[in-house]
Amino acid sequence: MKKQPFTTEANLQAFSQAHHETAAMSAIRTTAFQQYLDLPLAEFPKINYRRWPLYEGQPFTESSASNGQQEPVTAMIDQQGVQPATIQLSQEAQAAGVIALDFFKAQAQYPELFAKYYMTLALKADAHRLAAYHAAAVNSGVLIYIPKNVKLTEPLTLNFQQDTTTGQTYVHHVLLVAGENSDVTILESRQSDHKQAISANLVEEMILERDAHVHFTAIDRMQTVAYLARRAYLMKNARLDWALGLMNDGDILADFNTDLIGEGSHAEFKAVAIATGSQLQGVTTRITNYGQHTEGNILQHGVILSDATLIFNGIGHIVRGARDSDAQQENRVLMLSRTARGDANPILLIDENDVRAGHAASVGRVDQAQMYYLMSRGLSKDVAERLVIRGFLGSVLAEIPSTEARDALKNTIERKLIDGQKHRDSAE
Amino acid sequence: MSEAKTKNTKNNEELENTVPDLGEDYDYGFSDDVQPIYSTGRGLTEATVREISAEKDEPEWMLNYRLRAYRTYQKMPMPDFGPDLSDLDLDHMLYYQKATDRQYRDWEDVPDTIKNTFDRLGVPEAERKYLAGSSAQYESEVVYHNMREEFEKLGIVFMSTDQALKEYPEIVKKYFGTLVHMNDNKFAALNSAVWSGGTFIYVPKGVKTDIPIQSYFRINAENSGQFERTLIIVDKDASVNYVEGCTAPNYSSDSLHAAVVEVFVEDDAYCRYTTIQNWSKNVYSLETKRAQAMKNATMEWVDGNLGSKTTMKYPSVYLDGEGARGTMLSIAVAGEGVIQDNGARMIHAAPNTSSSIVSKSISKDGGAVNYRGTVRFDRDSDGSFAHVECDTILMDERSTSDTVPFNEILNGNVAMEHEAKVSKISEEQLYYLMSRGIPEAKATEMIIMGFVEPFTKELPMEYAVELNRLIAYEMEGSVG
Repeated sequence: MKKQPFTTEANLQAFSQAHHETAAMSAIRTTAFQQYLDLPLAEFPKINYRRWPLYEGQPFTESSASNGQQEPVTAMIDQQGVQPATIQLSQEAQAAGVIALDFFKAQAQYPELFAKYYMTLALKADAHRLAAYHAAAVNSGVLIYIPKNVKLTEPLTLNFQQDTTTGQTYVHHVLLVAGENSDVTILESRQSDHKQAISANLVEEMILERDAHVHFTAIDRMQTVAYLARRAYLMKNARLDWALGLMNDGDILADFNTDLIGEGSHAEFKAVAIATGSQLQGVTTRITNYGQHTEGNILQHGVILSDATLIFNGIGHIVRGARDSDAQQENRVLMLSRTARGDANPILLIDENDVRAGHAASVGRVDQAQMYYLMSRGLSKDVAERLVIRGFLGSVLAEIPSTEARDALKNTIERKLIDGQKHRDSAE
Repeated sequence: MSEAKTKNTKNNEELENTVPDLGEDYDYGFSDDVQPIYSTGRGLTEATVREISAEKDEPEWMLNYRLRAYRTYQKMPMPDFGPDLSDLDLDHMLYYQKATDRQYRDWEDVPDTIKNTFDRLGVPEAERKYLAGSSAQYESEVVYHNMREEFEKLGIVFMSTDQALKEYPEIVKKYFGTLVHMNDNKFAALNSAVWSGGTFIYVPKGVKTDIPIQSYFRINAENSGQFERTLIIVDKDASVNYVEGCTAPNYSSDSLHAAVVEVFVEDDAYCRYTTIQNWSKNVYSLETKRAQAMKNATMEWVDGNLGSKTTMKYPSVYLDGEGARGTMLSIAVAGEGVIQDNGARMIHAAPNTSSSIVSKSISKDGGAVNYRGTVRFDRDSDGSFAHVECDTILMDERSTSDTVPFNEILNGNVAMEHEAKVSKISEEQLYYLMSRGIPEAKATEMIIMGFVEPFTKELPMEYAVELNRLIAYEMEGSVG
């Protein structure tokens, strides 16, 4: 049985026109819409999301477009639901020529950036059904461009909140382009306000031109069912440091992909995840070494409580010709409940021999000796457990450069754990 | 470039001087002009299945089982993972060939042409020297089997599975197809429909043997399918050590080896199952091997894969009894045009079970060697533990390796460790050895031998020597 498309082509074009989209962008939308139902589903090992409502819902309902002009005080982007982004650029960023614009404004003003980088390199619009659906239905987002040689000392904060009260599907796009030899720190926070039977399709594309260096830190607190793609494309000698805190409460299909295209490019990927309740967090992290002398390292630590499921797929792929490359990964999962499910699947695909590739994975429970010690000192079981977990996640947390981000993540972890323990204790 | 080439050639000469007994090509690639006395001809239909069953004079239930399996086989898709099997021409295979009209117990009675084959493979010699029992399968049927009287007296049953179906029908019926269901995969279904030969071993309660029992499998004709069916039952507190070897002639067209092996290890029993597979490079080896380990039982797979065109083999252990233990120790060597897609599956279904997988792989001359495995902890696997280690050496830039392990954990009270590494030959080690005056080729060989040593040291002495020789041969000329 063929599925019904989520909208009609007429609605699609009306939406595009209402937002004054360029002809090129409108064409991408239409083509993707025509293709998406025929494209294969994206394959993520051992994660079955066929029944998730990811292609349903209505992304094109009317929303009040209020677009106040803001005073440039700090470097901050704030976007509520599909409202136009509120953007505040610091004087430093403004002076340096940093561009930060709402998605629809940006495509009109910088069509050449979109033509070059929007769903062409990091995630192609026809890669699979999720990507095509995104290209067809995108209804909000931002563009960030850091010009050549610009090194920002202050972090750029991005705050995206899904508004579930409108009943509207959230299809959000971030296009980040770091120009040659630029240097920027991004602190991103994603959340949705309520747990609703509504989905989100979130794609972030990061293009790092030659010698660019991006520190990317994100804390995710989504409560809806979401496809969350963060896809990076690195040119010569570019470097990307990922630090992600997956503190979602909804079912999440996370697709974190880094393509080390340019010679000497380098990615460090670090993530912590906590799964609670009965949610499923399926995380597929892939780094592909295309260029020579490239290096990609994955470090993922996860904690699972109650009946939750956490699946870590780590994929290190070295293609032929990527001589003198390095692909390492470590996936560790800590199980706090008998009924939890945790998979750690460290996959290596090696087509070149002049490489160093390795992986390690482990799954285990909380160290009983540590628990016993802490509890014998008068700590309650829950507090002792949280301390042990903090120690377990500490090696990843320590890697987060910004104190602010690190503290924010620590707090989120604490909150998520307390909620998870409450949920568990009340169930018992 | 030319300088490197000269150096390489020189080193090869030196290698030949140090290891003088290396053959020019695959040692077992010869074929014999043996006309089968009975064959179902090429291709497979329901009539072929009926014909095989009738020829074997089987009970009704087995015929029905075969027919159901045949229908299952027709319905099932090819595997949706792993190597490309589109070149495998299943319509042109010979599914059943019988070379002799009976089984022989005395080696002297075996027809000369066939005897000659096994003589050249060293089978009778091995039996005389160190085996408790030995059998030989030629194409579809076991042509020879024998066991020393002292072991027979202990009540150990060792015969072809066909013969067992006649002599111990209840035992066969009780176990056959219960561990590997006909619908497990397409090639298990095919085996279930057209199986012939294979080994049946029953070790009674409390009977222990350390001396190995061996079976040797030989494909001779072109485009042959060999579908042996092995059933091993190790009763409570008993032990057995079973070894199998496989070879085939070189042909330009492909043959198929699709075995099904089921091993039942009862409470406190022990089974070691060693395979040295050295098929010629025109054989598809698509096997389904599975064992069940009950309370405090131990199942050990020792698996050496040197030849074939494409191998897909993932022996598994179902740890169904408390305290059961399963291990897999394997090596795989893939040369030019060879795909070795191997691995292991450990299913922890009872408390306090443990498993260990150690996989060593070498890929050279554009070969592909993959590890594909699963460790699964089910709900009731409290206190269980698993350890997985995969090491791969890629000898040159044309060779590839994928490591695809799945670790599925459904119980919070278990521990699992997994490590893997892919690299080229250690330059540091090579440099060290060469700085001591050892030529590059010999140094490479020494490193490789060190790499596979954890495996070879587990083999019976004679096999270890043979395996080292085969690996040295495989490695010949691989420096450059």
